[in-house]
Amino acid sequence: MSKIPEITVFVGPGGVGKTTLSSAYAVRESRENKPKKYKLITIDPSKRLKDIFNMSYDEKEKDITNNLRVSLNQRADLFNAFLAESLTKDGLLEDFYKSRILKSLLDDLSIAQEFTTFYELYSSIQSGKYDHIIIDTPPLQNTADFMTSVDKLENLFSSKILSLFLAGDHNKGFIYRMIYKSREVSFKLLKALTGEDFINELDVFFKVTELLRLRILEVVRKCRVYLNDHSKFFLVCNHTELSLKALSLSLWALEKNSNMNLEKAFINKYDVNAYPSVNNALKEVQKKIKTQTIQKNNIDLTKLDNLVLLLSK
Amino acid sequence: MALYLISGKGGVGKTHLSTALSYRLSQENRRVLLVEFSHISLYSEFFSRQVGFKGVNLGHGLHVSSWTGLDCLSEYVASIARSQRAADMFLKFPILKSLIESAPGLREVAVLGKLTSDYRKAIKIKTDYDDIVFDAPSTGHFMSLLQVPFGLRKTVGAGPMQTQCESIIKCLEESEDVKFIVINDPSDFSIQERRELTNFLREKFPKRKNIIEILNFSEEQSGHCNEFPYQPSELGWFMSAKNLSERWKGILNV
Repeated sequence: MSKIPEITVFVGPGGVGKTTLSSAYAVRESRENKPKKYKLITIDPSKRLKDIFNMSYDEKEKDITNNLRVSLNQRADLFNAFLAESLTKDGLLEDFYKSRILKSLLDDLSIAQEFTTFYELYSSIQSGKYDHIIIDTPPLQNTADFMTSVDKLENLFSSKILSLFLAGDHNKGFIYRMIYKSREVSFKLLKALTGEDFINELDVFFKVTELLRLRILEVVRKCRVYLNDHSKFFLVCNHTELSLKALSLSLWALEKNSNMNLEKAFINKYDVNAYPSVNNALKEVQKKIKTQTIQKNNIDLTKLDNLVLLLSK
Repeated sequence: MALYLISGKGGVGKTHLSTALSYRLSQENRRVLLVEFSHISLYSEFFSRQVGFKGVNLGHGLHVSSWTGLDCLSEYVASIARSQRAADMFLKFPILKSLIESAPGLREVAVLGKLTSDYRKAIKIKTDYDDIVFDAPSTGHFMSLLQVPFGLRKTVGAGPMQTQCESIIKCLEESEDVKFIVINDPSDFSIQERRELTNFLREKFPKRKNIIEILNFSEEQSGHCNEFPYQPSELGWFMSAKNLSERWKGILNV
């Protein structure tokens, strides 16, 4: 088993500078700690990281220097890689691609998004190539959803319900089992809701998903350990009231659902005269931070180099 | 009667704009529903009262609510079952619940279905408001949400789910009453995101002419943006952040 690298996760409300700060942090750390290897991953679907490092929308990864690699967490590519690695028996992969729902998952639907993030974290660690992984997240409410999705995914794939769903006589098909297990009236409702065609598609989808169940559980459970026990969270916010409100709410949700180790907070675009209520809010934030470090800054942050300098202090 | 869908990069002022717009519409004696879409209700904090799925009346015809995908799905099931009790029974049934929660796309379609129900003449889940203002997720997640009916339409060849998706797409593309508003501030990132979102909307809904672009800026910010001043689209309302907050304070005093 490879050594678990350092993991730093940047969280915060929208528009406060998470992507900029996490990039600056990755650039600085990798410059100062050669030959340690760094990977910076964005899990925000809006992919602003690509603009900082001049990448194209579909680009997967890019080596910025010989010890810093940046990844845009392209979910279709990652999901394909996961399938190829997990379904090694002949023909299984081809079966999988027959499912129309699966095809949509890769193209259009967002359900695979959280899982592919976990898979990228997992495989980056398993590869043993990196000493430090830095994660840039979407605005906090989505991050809270992301953190709780560890539990959701685990519940789904370890539940007796799903195994009941999938066990038994596959030849008789899903619809047969549904009618058998549920009340007829419920089944009629489901049919009215989705139509028989959709139910048939789901049948194929769940059958192939069953093949991946244990692999999915392994990835998700490992990631829970990585995020809870091996990660440091860096908080970024600014001084606007709305951003601070969003922050305190989301922190509360995050703490309730995970054992988040909040290490440091950056108050970006800081202006002490702007709102008197800010200082109270900052005190609240400070209580939650273990190292009691709050770094305030009010310099021009539009240049990456300025930031790198700032962080070096 | 209009549905406003407001999106943009995180932190550019979506919530400020949504609340200000709702307030203004309510001042014109309209029944307005302001909607946030989240498991964590920022509006409860914002308006200092419990905001849930059902609209809370702030006075002057202005109502606020906080939706999750599951709320909307449950209501949709109830409309098909013609009773909330039957729907609750259905959603409590473990196998079905597990299926509903894990089946890709159902919750997203339920949300878009509810938003557009009045404009699609889906009488069963009629919302009973003159206007709806949807304080949508930021660009990346908003695009993922809008992508879902396109994905499901391909997945299911026929049946009610497919009909529902077609109807939602048609409404978002053609209805005069649906208005997309893309807001950004004068930072390069948010301008880039505005560009990507409007391109996405034009590509997905080619028949749609009017996408409203709003630049949220104050005088002192104008120096920070390489592209400034850019011209927002035909309807572009320039406004300053300061004016917006004044309106916002008005709402809190309601």
